[in-house]
Amino acid sequence: MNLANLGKAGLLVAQNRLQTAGHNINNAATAGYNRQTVLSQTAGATPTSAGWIGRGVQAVSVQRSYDNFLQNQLTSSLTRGAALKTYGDQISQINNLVADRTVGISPGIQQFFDSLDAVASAPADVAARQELIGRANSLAAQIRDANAFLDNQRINVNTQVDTTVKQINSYLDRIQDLNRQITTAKATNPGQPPNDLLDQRDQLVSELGQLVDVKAYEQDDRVSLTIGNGQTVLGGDSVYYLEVHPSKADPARLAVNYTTKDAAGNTIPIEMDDSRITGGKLGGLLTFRSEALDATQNDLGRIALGISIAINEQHAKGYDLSGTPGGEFFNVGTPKAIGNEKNSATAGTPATAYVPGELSKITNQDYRVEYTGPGATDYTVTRVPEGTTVTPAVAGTTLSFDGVEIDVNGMAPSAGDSWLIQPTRDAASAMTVTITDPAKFAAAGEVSPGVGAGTANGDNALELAALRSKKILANGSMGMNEAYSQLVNTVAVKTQQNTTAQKAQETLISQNFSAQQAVSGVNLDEEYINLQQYQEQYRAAARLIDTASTLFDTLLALRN
Amino acid sequence: MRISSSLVFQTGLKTINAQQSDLLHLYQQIGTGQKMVTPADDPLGASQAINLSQSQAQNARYADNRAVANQNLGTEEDALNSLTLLLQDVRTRLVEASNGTLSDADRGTLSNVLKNARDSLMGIANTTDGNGQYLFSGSLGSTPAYGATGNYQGDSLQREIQADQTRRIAGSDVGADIFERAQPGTRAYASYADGGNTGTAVLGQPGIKDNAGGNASANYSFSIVFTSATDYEVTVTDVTGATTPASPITGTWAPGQTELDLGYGTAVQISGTPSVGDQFDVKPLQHENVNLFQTFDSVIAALNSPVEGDDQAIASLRNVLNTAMQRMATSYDNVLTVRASVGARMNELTALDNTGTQRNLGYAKALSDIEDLDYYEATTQLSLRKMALEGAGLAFQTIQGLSLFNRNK
Repeated sequence: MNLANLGKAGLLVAQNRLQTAGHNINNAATAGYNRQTVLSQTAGATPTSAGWIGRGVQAVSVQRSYDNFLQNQLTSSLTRGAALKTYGDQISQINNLVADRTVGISPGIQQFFDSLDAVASAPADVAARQELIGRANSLAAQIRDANAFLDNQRINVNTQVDTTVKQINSYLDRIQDLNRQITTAKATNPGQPPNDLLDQRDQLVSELGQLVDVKAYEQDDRVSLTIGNGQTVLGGDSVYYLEVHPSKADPARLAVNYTTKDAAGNTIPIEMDDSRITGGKLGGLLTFRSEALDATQNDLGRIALGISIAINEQHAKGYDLSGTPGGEFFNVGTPKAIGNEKNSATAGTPATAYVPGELSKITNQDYRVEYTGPGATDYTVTRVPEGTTVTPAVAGTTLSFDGVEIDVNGMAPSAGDSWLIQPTRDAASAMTVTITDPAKFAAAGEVSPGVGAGTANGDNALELAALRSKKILANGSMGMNEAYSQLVNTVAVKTQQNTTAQKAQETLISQNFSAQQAVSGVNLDEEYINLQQYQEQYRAAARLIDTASTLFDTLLALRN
Repeated sequence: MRISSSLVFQTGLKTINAQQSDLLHLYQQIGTGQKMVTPADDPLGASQAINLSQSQAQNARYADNRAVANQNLGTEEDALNSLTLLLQDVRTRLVEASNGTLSDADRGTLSNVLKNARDSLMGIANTTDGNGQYLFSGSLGSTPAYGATGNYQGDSLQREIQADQTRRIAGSDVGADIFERAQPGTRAYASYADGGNTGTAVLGQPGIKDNAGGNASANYSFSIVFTSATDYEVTVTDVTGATTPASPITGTWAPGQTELDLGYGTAVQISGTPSVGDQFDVKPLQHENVNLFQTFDSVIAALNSPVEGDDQAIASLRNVLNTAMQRMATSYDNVLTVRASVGARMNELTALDNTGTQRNLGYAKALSDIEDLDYYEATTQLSLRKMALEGAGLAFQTIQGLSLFNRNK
């Protein structure tokens, strides 16, 4: 009589198995799906004098084939891959900007100096002078355009950081939601893992990992998430959202802030340094901004400064067509000084300038100036992002370092107040041509102090033209064109390195993926065979019931 | 190892993608003819190409500069050619004028000829280049080089043109160097007779007879005064001020003696009879301002004065003519020297042009090596990649059709 029950149990288990196989087949292409198998065991046995008679099969649980280690490995390689891809997308834009060497800044420099040579050969020719001014304007426009492109990229990066953080926050919400669902599911059906919910949560964590490098910890069926150096974003049942605010040191960049709650329950944002986040799309964006974009824009600014200051200094030594000493040729701005938002109210901002005659000392770094006190000129100067300290030369209230000077006269800072000095960041956008009148170009040299040579003399123009190949930048190691070629080289090398790293990472991701799929992936052929097997089992179990029925009929038929 | 179905599809997708992107890169290379589609393809080559293009541009610009210099020197050469012919003609005229058989009227006509020659000289001195700038006025291009009175109005600054990386060549010459200078390094002397002389002595060619006499470098200037009919006193000064020669030197002259010894191995030809108190000067030309216009003016004025019948006037005229001929000789030699230097400069420009052309070829080749695509290699790669892409596609089709579900419909 137990035969019918055996059949029924077999049928039910076969049904479970078929159901699960069907579930696997349906979800073969679902992202993050781990294949499920029915865990069955025998239903025990009844002791008889003739031996233990088995009671059939029982389905115990549905298990998912999941390896935590492989999953984490895949996630972390995807995180790094996303960072590299985002970095690559951004830097290849700069790479494409400087791709053609026959257009852009390099030919602009050549044509400008060609026109200087033309004026030096025929100083009184007004047409040649007019052409010079035209070419100067064209060069300045090229440099400003390149800088505008980089500025646009900066705005773009800011926007993307904002969007990405919003996406991250929404993922945090969804993961918290799933945490709750899983807890509820476990309460409703204790002892059985809610596989599909677990799969969904793992997939969300993996997708979040592609946005930012998170570390996930599972505790009591809840997943906690931390980023950076251990700042919690999801802990217990609380989400600590990430926020985006202008950086305190430099309002032009949006920085990622993590939040904590104070005693009253208000959220306090705390700024995270760009270098704390290295993985995922966000990490790629931040690394690109601090490593490539800042450096490239500073390099471009240094080239603009090199041209402007060198030409201005030599131009002032000459005399124009009316015998007046040469004035300013290019417009040169001043180094940018930004006070930190946390500075005390009376701190003030120093006046900045470029030190005359020290053009070759200007670097492509930014500087963090911090007041240590107690004296009026006790400041420490650190190069950002290099990290090295510079000892400034102090003269009265003026501190000078690396070709830049700041005047701290009239400031009343407290210890810890800091300023960010950016000597070259905005230099390219400030480059314009001051001269409009061709007659005001100082081509003639000096006959005696204060007296210029006549209109047919081009000695000063000869000296100006000779600046083309003079090594005026980087402590006398680079000319202007070389500085530009170095900029191109740096961008190209970074792009190439990134491409190589991306290719290698893709291989790693593929390997990790196949390792993970080897455990968790659905093989349709396997499921097909399983279907056949479970169908057979079903038929066989149905046969059992049939046999039991036949037996019972036989018993009933005994009466007659 | 267990393979999942999605792994099969993923792998197929990745390989096809990879082949396609390689193929696309090849297309871009072939389409542009450049090995480097972006600088990332060859960072070192990209920066080298930029540096080379500057050298190439500079080289081309120097060639343009040299063309300007050639043009200016050509204009100067034409002017100097006219000047040479003019001076040759005038020197012939001066010899003519010394002919004692000419009448005052004839000399007057000659004077007019010389006046016309002076006007031509002024025209040459104030030559302009294509831009309307005066060629010979130093740096003062809008001022004529010489004023009407024959004074130099320019300055002494050269007009230099950058002909090569480290070579600046003067595209013109300063007027003072052409029209007011004695031939550089000349040790010739000129003799001057004082206008107030009453005798009929005519001084001829002065010169250094004995180099060991102490005046080997021709720095001494001699001032002669006749203290009696036969005695004269010579005051010797060192024009450079470096030494103080013993002075004065006395000498005697016997009537009929053709040479007057001035001491220090220097002597001057003399004919005629000097009076007491007659003064003469013998000056070294290299330290003199040998202004051609002044030379002309002195001759024109002298030829206009009547001298017929007046022995003293004739002697005075002869002295002026002798002085003029001596000065013009060194002026003429100076002009030839300047022409030679113009020729040398133009030769140098031609040589630099040749070097520049060679260099340009070198730069073009270096750039081509870095940038240009090797079409043979590229088209071979193209066939290879196409085959690889087709292979990847075919492999994927084969594998994905192998599912059991497909077989047992």
